[in-house]
Amino acid sequence: MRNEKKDLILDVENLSVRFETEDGVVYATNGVSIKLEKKKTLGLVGETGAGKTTTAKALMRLVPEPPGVIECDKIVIDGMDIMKMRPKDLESVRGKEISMIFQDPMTALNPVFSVGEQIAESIEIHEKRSKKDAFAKAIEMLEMVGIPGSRAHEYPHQFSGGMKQRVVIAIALACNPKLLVADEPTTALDVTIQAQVLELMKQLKQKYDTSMILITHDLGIVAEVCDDVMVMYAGRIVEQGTLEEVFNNTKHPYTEGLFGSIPNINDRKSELQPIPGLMPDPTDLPKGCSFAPRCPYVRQSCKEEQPEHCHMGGNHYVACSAYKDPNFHIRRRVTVEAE
Amino acid sequence: MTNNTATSGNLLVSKKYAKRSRVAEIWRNLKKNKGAIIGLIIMVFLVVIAFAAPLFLDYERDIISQNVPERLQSPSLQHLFGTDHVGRDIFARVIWGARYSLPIGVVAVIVAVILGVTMGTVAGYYGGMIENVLMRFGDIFASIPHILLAIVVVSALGQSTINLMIAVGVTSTPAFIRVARAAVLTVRNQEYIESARAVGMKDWQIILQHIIPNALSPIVVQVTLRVGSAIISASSLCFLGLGIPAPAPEWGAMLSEGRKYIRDYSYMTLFPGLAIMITVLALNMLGDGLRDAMDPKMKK
Amino acid sequence: MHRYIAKRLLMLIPVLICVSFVIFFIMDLAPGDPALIIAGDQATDEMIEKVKEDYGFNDPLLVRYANYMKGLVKGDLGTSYVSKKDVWATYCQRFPATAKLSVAAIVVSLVLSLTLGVYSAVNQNTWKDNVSVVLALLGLSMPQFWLGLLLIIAFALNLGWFPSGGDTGTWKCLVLPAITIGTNNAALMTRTTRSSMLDVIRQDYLCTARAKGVSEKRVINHHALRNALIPIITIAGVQFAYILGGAVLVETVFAWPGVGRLIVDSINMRDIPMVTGCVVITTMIVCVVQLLVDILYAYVDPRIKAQYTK
Repeated sequence: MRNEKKDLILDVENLSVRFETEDGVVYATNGVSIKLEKKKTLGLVGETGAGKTTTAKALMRLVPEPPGVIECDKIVIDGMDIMKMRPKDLESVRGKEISMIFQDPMTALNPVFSVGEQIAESIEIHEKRSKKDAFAKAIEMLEMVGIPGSRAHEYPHQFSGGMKQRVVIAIALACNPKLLVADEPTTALDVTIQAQVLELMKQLKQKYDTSMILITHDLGIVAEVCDDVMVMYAGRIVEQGTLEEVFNNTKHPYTEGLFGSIPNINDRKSELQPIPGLMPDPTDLPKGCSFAPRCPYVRQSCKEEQPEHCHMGGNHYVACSAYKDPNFHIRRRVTVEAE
Repeated sequence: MTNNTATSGNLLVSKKYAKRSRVAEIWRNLKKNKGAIIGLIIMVFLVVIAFAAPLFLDYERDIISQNVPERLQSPSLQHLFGTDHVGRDIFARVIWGARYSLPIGVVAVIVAVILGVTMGTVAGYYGGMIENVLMRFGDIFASIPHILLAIVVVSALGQSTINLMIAVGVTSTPAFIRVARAAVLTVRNQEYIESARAVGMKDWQIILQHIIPNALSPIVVQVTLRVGSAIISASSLCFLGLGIPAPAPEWGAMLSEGRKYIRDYSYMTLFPGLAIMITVLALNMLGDGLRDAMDPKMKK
Repeated sequence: MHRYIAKRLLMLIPVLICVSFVIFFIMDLAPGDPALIIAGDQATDEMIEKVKEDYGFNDPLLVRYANYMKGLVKGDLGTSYVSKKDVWATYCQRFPATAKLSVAAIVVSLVLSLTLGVYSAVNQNTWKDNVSVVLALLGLSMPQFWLGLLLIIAFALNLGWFPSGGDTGTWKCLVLPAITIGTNNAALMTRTTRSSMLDVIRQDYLCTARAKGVSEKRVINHHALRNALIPIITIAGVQFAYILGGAVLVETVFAWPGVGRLIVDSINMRDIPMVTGCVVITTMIVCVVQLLVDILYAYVDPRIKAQYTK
């Protein structure tokens, strides 16, 4: 049975984003559909350039719309149709219903305003409080992310990278958004700080019942934090499902390649198996399956037609035409020990 | 072939090749910029006119001889820009004026380049006390408002074309000191300088062969921008009566004369000023285009 | 912060000394014998010699300079050869007119350049942007004195809206000269503003602001502009020197009774103490203004303030 009509916080159908520039049209996102249930965390996985950030920004229509063009059947956040909204309504949705954490904490904060002011601004806009009240709440938010409230008057350059990221999280969560989009929130941080920030996010997520989309290229983080997974390649979703389905029952050759690229600590002698080749140029995508040039299982039909999404059971879907043949399987097979 | 045994010699050769293709690359970039090409065409046109003027105009007859019965005539077919208060044809005078403004602008900037680049390069290369002294020196000259400095120099040296060039050149010098020093600082710590020193090249050789070629592009950009402002400064001084003495048809001086008759004969103030503006506009467009062509970080 | 200000003020003094020496030295090269001018046409050789003794013209350069500096510290910059009045007093009398003009010009310049620069940057590469870039280029290429003359022809002589010169104390007199200087200055500042805004507009923190739900207007005018102002303020400080320089030309065109015209007239009359004194004082004002701008800079950019207070 396919998806029951569950309570969806995010319902995106057939989202495509392209950028029309002088040097050509960049097809960043192509036909992405996401259905995220409330209180769940979705991991959006893929290499740099796969179109993850563009997809995330498109959800809030943060894509600059002169060069960018957003096309979709629908984007609905908590029942509200984003595509039909006027700018003023969009502004009241951003930061309040849906928030975003950006990739690079070093550049995400405005250098000329104090951190307290930057958090308070969100509160002032959405909760219509006075400056004083908003600042007081901003101090609370700072404490909640582990920064002493006395530092609220300080400026971003006075904080380390990890603390800056905490401030960014505080800004994003200040008004209790229902959906949090975190774009590689720990990529720019040291490993030890990464762990702290992830832990913080997990706690806050639980405390506020926030749904989350976590964008990352790090499969380890996905395993720790996410309920569902979507794998993106060249702007398209190539595999999606629950965490167990995708990790333990991997179907798509690209996902297999991603797992294969992780060094195996138990088998130090074996060679790393990188995926040969590079991601295609987004201004010049191949006609058929975008992964065909690099796929070890490629067939002639792959190069000619876009693969359809094949249902693999439960919530598991794969965009690979090889699975039309019921006997096909990839090499990776994870044995799950019975408990 | 030049010395290709020393390491520095090889670097010199390779840099020559690098420079040649870079010039071609800059020219290709420049061609894309319509404004810059228009500017270039106008400048070529002006230079040609300035050179060719004596072929069909005679200084004694057309430029300075007074013709009082024809005075103060509005523009007509016979006198395209009209005549001035002593009957001279303004069109001919404006054309001849290019023979003052263009060379003054160019020579003034050459003066500034020679003084400024020398000081800036020495300051950047040797550092320490020398750098401090030279930079303070440049700062002092930069603190004095340009026109006041030029006025002071001209009044000290006397009114003539050459003194005008020197005065305007001196005011542009601080900019070149700064640009040259900054460029040298980026190059100074590169490894090939070390290796050149290790091979025994003398300081002045290093400066000439390695440092200056690399510092060239910001300097070239400054040059094109400064020629325009030098022309404006020079004509400003002539407007104030401190430049080339009459009856020279310098554009600023012509505007100063026209000012007395502005009430009823405003055309006298129109054409020389237009000439200045078109010249400087062309130079600015060319300079902008050059800067964009040389600078990889294009603001799109 | 106070220490930084005190340090900068202290460093100002050697600069001012050097500036005054440089100007004194250059003017000293000027041809012509001041003793002749002072003594007058009818003077005999004896009278000329006496003048030379009295004024110390026979002393070597450094001695004369030292005496000059002693006088400067006391506020005595000598007396004009021509009017026989005190240089400092004359400067002070003429200064308010120039100050009025400069302030008006700065206001015009800021208003024009900030609006045009921001508008241009936000609408980058559209026809609106291209028009303002071209306008800025035109403004840069026009000599100020010519612009002044054109404005006189158009608005004073043909339309009669404004007087063609002089200062009768009404605001109308200020309009044309202020616009002349202000437009020229605005041309340069517009390019700087536009370029600075373009840099800021790409910054990630603006995306953060939008993601918070901040309105686009506030993103540009509050978040972006504050950051873009930093390089603009730097240039504005330097520009003040140009505004004063522009005043010299424009005061001549509009017969404005300010310091600029005083300098030009004094040069034509070979009144060396007046010229020297005026240029020295004007340069001092420029240096002080630049210091003030540097301090203002610290209040706009907290990172700079941190550097200054270290």
